[in-house]
Order: sequence, then C-alpha cells, then structure tokens
Amino acid sequence: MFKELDPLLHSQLRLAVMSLLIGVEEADFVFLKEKTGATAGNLSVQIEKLKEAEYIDVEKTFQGKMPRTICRITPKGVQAFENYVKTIQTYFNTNNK
Amino acid sequence: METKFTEQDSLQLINQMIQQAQNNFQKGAGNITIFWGCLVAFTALLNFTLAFVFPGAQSCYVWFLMVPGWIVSYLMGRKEDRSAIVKTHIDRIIHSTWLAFGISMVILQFVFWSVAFYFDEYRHFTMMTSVILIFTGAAQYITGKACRFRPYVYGGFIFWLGAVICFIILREVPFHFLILTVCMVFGYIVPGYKLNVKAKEHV
Repeated sequence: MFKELDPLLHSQLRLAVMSLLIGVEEADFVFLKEKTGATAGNLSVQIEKLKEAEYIDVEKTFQGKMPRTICRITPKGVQAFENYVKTIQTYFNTNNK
Repeated sequence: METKFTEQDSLQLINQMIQQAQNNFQKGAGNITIFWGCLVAFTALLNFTLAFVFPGAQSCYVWFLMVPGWIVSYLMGRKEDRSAIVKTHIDRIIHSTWLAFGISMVILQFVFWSVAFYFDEYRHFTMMTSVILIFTGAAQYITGKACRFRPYVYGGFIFWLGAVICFIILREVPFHFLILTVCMVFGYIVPGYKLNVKAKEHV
C-alpha cells in the first residue's frame, strides 16, 4: 500500500518553491519568481498556502521605498519536504522490485 | 489552476530547483575583492617607493590607509547584503571566513606590535608580509572551494606562493611589497573581475 503524498507539496509550483528554499537560507520573492518562471499572482497564492501550513516563514520589509518579501523554510517545512522525498522514493523502490 | 504531476516529474523538479539555487552569483559579486586588490596593490607600491625615499620604518605608515578601506568594504558589503535576492548557506560560510580573516589580522597586528614594544625588537616585522599572505591565501582558497570558483582557488595558491617567496627573501623587506602587489593583481583583482563576468552571465 502506497503512503499518500503530501497534497500541499505535490503541486508543481509549491514543490518548486520548497525545493529552492531547502537549499538556501532565505530568498526574495523576485528570486523565486525568476527561478520558477511563475506569474507574480500565482506565486503569491502558493506562497500564502505554504505559509498557512507553516512550511515557510514570510517576512515583508522595505528596501528604501520598495516592498520586499523574504521567504525562509521552517523546521516543519524541512520535515514535510524530507517526508515527501522519502515517500516518493518508496514509490520508485516498489516499482523497481 | 494547479497542474498535478507524476512522481517522476516531482524528482526532476526537485533536482532542477536545487541546482538552480546553487552557484548563484550576484551581479558585482567580485567588487569587494577588486576593491581590496586595488587598495592593497596601490598601498604596497607606495610603500615600496617610499621605502627608498625614507629608509626608516616611516614609510609603513601608508598602511593606515587600510582603516578607511575596512569602512568602505563594510559599507559595500552591507549594500550588497541588502540588495541580495537570495542568501545561501555558502554565503554565510564565505562571510564567516572573511570575518575570521579580519579578526585574525587585528590580533596579528596586536601580537606583532606587542612583541615590538615589550622587547624593543623589530626584526619579526620582516615576517609580516609572509604571514598576511598565508592567511589571505587560506581565506581565498576556502572562498573558491565553497563557491566552486576556480580562479579564487588559484588565487589562494598565488598568495601562498608569494608567502614562500617573501620568506626566502626575508631580509629584502621593500621587495615584499612588490610581491604583495603581484599577488593582489593575480590573486584578487583578476579573479574578482572573472567573478563579475560570470555573475553577469548568470543574470
């Protein structure tokens, strides 16, 4: 019986954001938008969902007069990401047997 | 609308994004290195020239130029830090390495000058350039390895080579400044420039 994949992470854009954040200390919204190729609107919505699940921290600041959104992965997010990867590995291990 | 995708796609995406997050060079990443390279090379050349005009130790006062250098470098770093769109763990390692280098330089000066005042002995200053080059080489080498940028790694070796040459010609102190200048050009300025070119390509 397959363990169910975390539905919050099994979505292209949210997984992309989490994969980017897992490798860095913090990233600006601009960086995430640039690397994922998503639209600002869609990215905002997905970031909000990850924030609600407490998978990421979102800090809104200003650089001069320009607003900035800085995202960081939380320990809960790291755990969820690791579980997601482990679950996927079980899918492949089972298929290879 | 969100697209559901397969487990295979998931793994591919994770790999792709993790790679994207690595090796991110910010535009102008080599500016601080170039700044220090130019400042130290200029000061070393000035010291070399003045050493022949004022044969005593007075010419060494030109190194007080490093004090405003630290201030400018701090301001440049702060500006770079604020405008960075991503901060990686590697950035923290590199920052800590250069902070450790800076602290080591301050302690080194304290030790050298303390020995001078305590024992009224100045011969150990002939080793100063060698010791500084060893530390600089180590910091530059670690930076190069951490960010996987070979010109910085080679820069580290250039500083270490310079340290050995200075030690071989220990008594010829004015010529240590010429070696220091060459090390700064090939260990800092050229790699810094190459880093800027690479960062520009990534933007």
